[in-house]
Amino acid sequence: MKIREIVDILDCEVLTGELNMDEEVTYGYTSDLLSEVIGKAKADSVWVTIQSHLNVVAVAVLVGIKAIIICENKSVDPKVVEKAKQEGVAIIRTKENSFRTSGILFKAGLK
Amino acid sequence: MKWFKAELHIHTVLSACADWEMTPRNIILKAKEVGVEVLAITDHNSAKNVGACIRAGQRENILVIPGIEVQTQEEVHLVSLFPTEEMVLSFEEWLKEYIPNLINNEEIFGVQVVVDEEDNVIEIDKRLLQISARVSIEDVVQKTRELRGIAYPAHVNREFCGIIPVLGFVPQDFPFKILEIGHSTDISSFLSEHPEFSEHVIIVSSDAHFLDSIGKGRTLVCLDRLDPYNLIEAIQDKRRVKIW
Repeated sequence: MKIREIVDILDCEVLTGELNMDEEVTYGYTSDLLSEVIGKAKADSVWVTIQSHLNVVAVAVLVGIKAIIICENKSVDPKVVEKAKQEGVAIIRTKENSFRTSGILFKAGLK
Repeated sequence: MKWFKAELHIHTVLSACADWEMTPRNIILKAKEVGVEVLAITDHNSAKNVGACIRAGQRENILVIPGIEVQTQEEVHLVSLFPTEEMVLSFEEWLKEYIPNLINNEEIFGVQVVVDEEDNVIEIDKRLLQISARVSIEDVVQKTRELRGIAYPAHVNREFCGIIPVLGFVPQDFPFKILEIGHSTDISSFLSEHPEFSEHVIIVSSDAHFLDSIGKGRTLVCLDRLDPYNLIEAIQDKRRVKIW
């Protein structure tokens, strides 16, 4: 599934512009504990979380995550967006909570 | 009894996120320059540079307290301080079993360097240390105490790995009477937001990852003598700790 399609079905706001919008992702992972994500998330995935501090970008790069989906419309510092752009990680934001976001993505075919 | 300026949370080049200049000699010389007399070396989930720092400190009459900064499974940072190098190393040996077996990505987190007291590189630690150990806050407190040390939460109000933002509050049954706050936090507004901590010992540390941060901590401790046992005893007594 393309990240662009995820943006559509979740009615997301894209904070990092066109970056990674045409990347294909197969997997998703939901957690707010960064070390769980480091240990368990797969590459070529999207990460569903409410964490939005700078360390999320480092974790995403480490794992090979293509996009971070920030739930609950949490605010994201412009520095985090800037860092994400530099590192090639898309940040998209939704009003939905993590449970509903994961459910919608699972139903749409992400593993 | 005399008051000493203490910095109880300092990282070396072994912490992936710390600057290259954070070597034992540089740390000790910087501490001397800014008037720090006691400092604790607290690297991320590892104590391999503690010994080198102790020996570098001895040459300049700076007391180095053996320590480690543990990231628990709750993703909370605790500082554990010990009376001897041997104790921190046995703590590290215990902790090692609980650290997930992953490789550090040096491009993202940086290189983890083990050095001697002359700043020579001995080893590059390839394990990913910047991750939670599979131990609870209670486990760390208990194990630290068994080894005659003391554990308390680090930068309690910081969003990343600070106990208050992560857990939402400090549970009343957690055995902490010491809290560390960062040097940029205003203590009186912190305490007015958190009146429940008015009886706690507050320690202000720099959590230095860069040489220039050393000395930004503002903790004074009252000691009979410069000795780790004495320091560990002193920081548990509110009357013997003050912030300048």
